[in-house]
Amino acid sequence: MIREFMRFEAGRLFGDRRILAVGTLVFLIAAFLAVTGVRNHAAFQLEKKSFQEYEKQRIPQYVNYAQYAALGFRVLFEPSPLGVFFESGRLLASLESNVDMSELVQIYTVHKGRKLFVVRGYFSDVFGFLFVAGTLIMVYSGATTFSSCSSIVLKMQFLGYYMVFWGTLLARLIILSCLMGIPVLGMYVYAKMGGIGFTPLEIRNLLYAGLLLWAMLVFFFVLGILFRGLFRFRGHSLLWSFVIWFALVFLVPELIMEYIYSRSQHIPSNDSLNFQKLRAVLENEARAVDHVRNMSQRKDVDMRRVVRDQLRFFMNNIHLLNRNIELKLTRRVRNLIRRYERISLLVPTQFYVFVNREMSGLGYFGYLDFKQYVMHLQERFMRFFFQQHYFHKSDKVNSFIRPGENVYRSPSYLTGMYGWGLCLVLMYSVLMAGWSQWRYYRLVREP
Amino acid sequence: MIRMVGLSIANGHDCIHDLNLTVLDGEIFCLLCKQKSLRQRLFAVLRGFVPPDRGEVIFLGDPAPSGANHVVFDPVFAGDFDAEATLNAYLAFLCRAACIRREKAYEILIKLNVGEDLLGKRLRDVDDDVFCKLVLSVLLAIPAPNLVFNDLIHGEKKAYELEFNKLLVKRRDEGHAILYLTDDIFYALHIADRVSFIKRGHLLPREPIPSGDLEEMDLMRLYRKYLS
Repeated sequence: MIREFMRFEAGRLFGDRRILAVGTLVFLIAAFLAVTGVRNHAAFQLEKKSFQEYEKQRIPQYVNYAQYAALGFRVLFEPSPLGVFFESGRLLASLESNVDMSELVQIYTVHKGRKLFVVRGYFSDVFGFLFVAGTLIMVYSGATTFSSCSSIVLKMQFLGYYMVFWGTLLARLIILSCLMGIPVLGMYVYAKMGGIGFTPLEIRNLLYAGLLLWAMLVFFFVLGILFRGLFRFRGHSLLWSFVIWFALVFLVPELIMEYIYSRSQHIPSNDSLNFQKLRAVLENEARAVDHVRNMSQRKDVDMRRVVRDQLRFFMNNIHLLNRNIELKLTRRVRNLIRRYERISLLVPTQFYVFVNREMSGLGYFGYLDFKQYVMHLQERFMRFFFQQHYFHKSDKVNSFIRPGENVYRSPSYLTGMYGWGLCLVLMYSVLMAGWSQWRYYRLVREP
Repeated sequence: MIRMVGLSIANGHDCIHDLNLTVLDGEIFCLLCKQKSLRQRLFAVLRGFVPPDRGEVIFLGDPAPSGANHVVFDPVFAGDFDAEATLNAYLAFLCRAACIRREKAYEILIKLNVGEDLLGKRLRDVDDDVFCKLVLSVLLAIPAPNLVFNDLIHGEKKAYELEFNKLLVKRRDEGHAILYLTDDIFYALHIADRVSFIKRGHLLPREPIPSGDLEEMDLMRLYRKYLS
């Protein structure tokens, strides 16, 4: 019988010109976004090449290591290739870092020239757009699944209530899921043809993202069905479904983001941390200068050894102290991100936005790992500088960076709570479907 | 055969007390009741949606292939259904659900003046009564031994009524029990073998009136007595 349901519901869906028109439009816009995503990826690769070329030519221009230490080198943040599909986060768009001897961890976004236009609006990528348009279509489809009590009662006479309810719901859901799967599959094939090589991990994450998108579509589909029942098939049930959709997709994530922002104000400011670090460095410097001066007045003192001891002292104490300040900050930021993730779990739409952002590598976890990478490079650069400047005294400035090291390729992240989030979204859907079943049952039996 | 034994329904002013009624095989029985809400309530009980407060309804006879030994008919309004599906889709789905052959329903549809050309159209493109005829044809094609109607042809066109009556009489002649709930005494006179009234929750008169006797009675007086 499910085949009959499928055939009937397919006829209904394909007969609805509004759904067909909107569906075609969605497909075309998604295709356009995929094309621009691939082009953006190609443009970034060119940008990366010129960045690397520039950095490669810049280092030999330095006169000595002191200059190299003061000016340092830049590290570019490269998002995961999955960013082709998930760029809406753009949290870390055109992100760079400058690594030098200043003990400061400098991470900044570049908004100069054409990079001014890098940050675009929300949901301007394939998955973001499919989410907004898809959920809207699903709410509408859900709200029009059962047009009236009579339509259920008529079928109930032959099939029984449960068969009619679940048969219609599942048949419609299967057809809509297949329809929404077409653009996702099409985009993937296009991206492959566009010369982007995804790693197995990225392909796995892409599938997980598709699964979450599907869960979101199911959620909104069932929401539409529920609201139709709650408002007794009246005309404004559709209006209320759209209002709830708007609130869930646009309003609630903004409110949560606002809450997280207010919580983030408890984290100490960058300037106060930098000042702490600077004070430690300056105090140490004054102490070291005094110490070296005293030692130089003595006879039979190996000054190289004195300097080496001071550098060792700096690296083992002051640098570690400053590093701990940074790590403490990172820990606090990480805790806030975890809190954000936990709150997101409760609101499916927010969870979707959070997961998508991390999938592209342009999210919070991407930032944390990038910072870790920069700090690691900085520590190595310091040791390199001390070695070259104080002990080797070579005339030519050698580059510290090994090929490719000044580009951080952010992986695609699957958040730790993905499984929980997915289960919660599906659980909400099942609960709403159960509630709808009970609600419709009562409605159709009213004389 | 449809048998109501000690059936009681209480719902505010809409109530029925101790209704005992038997609709025999090969008979059209019209139960006349002025209160629409009470008719709806009784129909819901007969349909099995609402349990009676007391008593029971028994449908006897060999069930149809779908397992149903009774079919209930309620007026349908095309506006309540999805306008984007074609009539063909509805017909195919309902026939499959009712376990009947499409040809059987189509045969009835032809009698009701609905041709193949109309079936290809979407619900929004055809007149409302076409869909009602489609549903009726499917329901009448089910070989269930008992049929219950709730004021089905009220306000319908005369031609449709005549075709419907023919189909009803055919089913009666095949030996099926037919219960028709209405408030239209003129229609009852036209179609029923026996009639009864429900007034203030009681079946009046206690013994149903054969339609032959009804023809000889003063309908206006009956109407005032039982249905006003």
